[in-house]
Amino acid sequence: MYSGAERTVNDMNAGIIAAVASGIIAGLFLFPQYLVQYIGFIIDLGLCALLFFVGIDIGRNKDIINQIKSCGFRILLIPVMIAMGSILGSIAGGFIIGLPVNESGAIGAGFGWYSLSAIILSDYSAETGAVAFVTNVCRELFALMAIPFIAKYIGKLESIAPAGATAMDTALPAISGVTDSRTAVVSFITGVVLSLLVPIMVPLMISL
Amino acid sequence: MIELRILLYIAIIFIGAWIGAAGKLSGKFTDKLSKLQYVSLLFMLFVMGINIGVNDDVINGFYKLGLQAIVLSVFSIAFSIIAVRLVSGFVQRSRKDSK
Repeated sequence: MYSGAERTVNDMNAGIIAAVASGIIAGLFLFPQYLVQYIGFIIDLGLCALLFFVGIDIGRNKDIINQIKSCGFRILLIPVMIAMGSILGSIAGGFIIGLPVNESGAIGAGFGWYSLSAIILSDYSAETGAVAFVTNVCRELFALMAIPFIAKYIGKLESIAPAGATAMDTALPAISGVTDSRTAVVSFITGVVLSLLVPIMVPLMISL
Repeated sequence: MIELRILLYIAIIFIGAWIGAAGKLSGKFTDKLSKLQYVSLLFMLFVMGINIGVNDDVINGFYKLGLQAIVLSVFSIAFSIIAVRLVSGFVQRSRKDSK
């Protein structure tokens, strides 16, 4: 997930994949070993900058509180349930493939926001960061494919669930396209709440 | 230590939100900001890539990693759909009431 820029989704995804791929290649062949000790510090610093930008984006959507009021506070149950389902589901999946609970839980707490969750977790270990990145990219991809079917066969509100934090941006057109304007508003609110929960729940789960 | 870190993250988001909500940012500035945001995101992902590239364990386990990612994402999605299903009737009722 990302927010702010007016670029098309495909352009941005291509840029993101290219950045990670060129980083991996640089790490494999070019990056001098004596600089490795500074990576953690650079990640910390960049993370603070990213969170600051996310804050600005959220602050610019001032009417979000009014939107929540108009829908009734019960709709906050949707992001809460998605958060619980995502973390518990990831822990259950991690149990099958033999991942420790704190790692699988933290990866699930990315809620599809692959850039932020992966960057937070790459501070913990490069491997967990990598799994978080690919898992949450997969989540966004599977979500975009599954949303029309879930909206048709299960329910409108349920179609927000796979999108997670991306329900406010990349997955929003997919959801509003197959549901209605009220569901689109719920989707946006859900995405904002889940996005706020990512920098809280990911470090919390990994510290368990 | 971890609590401090989370508090720091929340504080940074709130400072950003406060500046964003003050609404004194001009259109030109926010355009520049979103470009800066995108570039810094790409830079962070590049650094994350380096972190992966210099780590032999990750590179050697790339196939395993893909499998893990598919299992974790599918389970996350399935459980969150079930979780929403549990409350959707209750939430829908309130949406009709408020009409």
